[in-house]
Amino acid sequence: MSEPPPDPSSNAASGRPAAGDPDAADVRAAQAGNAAAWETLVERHHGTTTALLWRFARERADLEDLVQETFLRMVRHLPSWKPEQPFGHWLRRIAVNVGRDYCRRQAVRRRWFGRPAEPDPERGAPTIEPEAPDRGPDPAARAAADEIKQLLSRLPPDDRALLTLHYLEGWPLADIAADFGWTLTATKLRAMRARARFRSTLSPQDLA
Amino acid sequence: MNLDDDPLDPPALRARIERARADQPPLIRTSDTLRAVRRGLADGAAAPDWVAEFAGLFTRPAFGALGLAAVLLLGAVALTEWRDLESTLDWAQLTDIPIGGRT
Repeated sequence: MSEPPPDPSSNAASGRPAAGDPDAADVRAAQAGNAAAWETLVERHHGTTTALLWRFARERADLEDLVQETFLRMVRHLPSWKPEQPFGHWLRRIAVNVGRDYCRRQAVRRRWFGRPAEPDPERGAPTIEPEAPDRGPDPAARAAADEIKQLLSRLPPDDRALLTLHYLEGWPLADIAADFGWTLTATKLRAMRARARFRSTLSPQDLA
Repeated sequence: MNLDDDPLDPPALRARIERARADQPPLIRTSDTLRAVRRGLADGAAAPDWVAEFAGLFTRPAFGALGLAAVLLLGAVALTEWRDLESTLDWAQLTDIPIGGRT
């Protein structure tokens, strides 16, 4: 996979190190070949990365794959990280790219194999299963999230990723523009079209 | 045309999105992730589903444009070749000379 592009919102353009980056020492140690250092980074960012990727994943097994893929890419690309960009932003961008790739794969599967967008029971229990011990504390929230993800899965991959980050994760469009490598105006336009497309896919019984 | 932030309509959808935002991810153990990453590094493993990953590349606009350019190029070559062949056939019929042979 390609390396994440430099973050325009970071200090990379000025060449200054990101001030007070709590991860910088561990990243440098990991770059020097210290395996314990990258494991520390995984432990530190595991929760936030999992929460972000959960907005994309439809089921637990997918989430596990996405989290593993994100940290695998992180470790592989660590040599290219520069201290001018905050490590957290850099990792977040990798996670977003993994999420977008997941949306693309799902779109391809639907198009070529006609696979429904429902969770695959062969790959682990659907997230709404009551016996799941790690289930979110709010069943209504889980049910609503499953429903929204299912509705969003009808959209083209980038529309789906954009609306997911904006509405479910609450990201401002400026942040999405920076992470997707789009201009803010283009992102606003895409968001407007994605919203219109999303509305057009909804039928009255979808929200009954 | 409103390019700025705009809540999704209808209100029922907005309410559901608000509720969905409170959803928490299932517990994924860090130790499991670490084990998988170590294994991935050791194996030099590719993405979990590399076939779909590869196919996913072709949904990107850049690849779509490349594909269109390739089709247009092939079409132009085929058209040129066909015209050449057609003119050769016409010429052969007019002169009554077998193509590629001698009289």
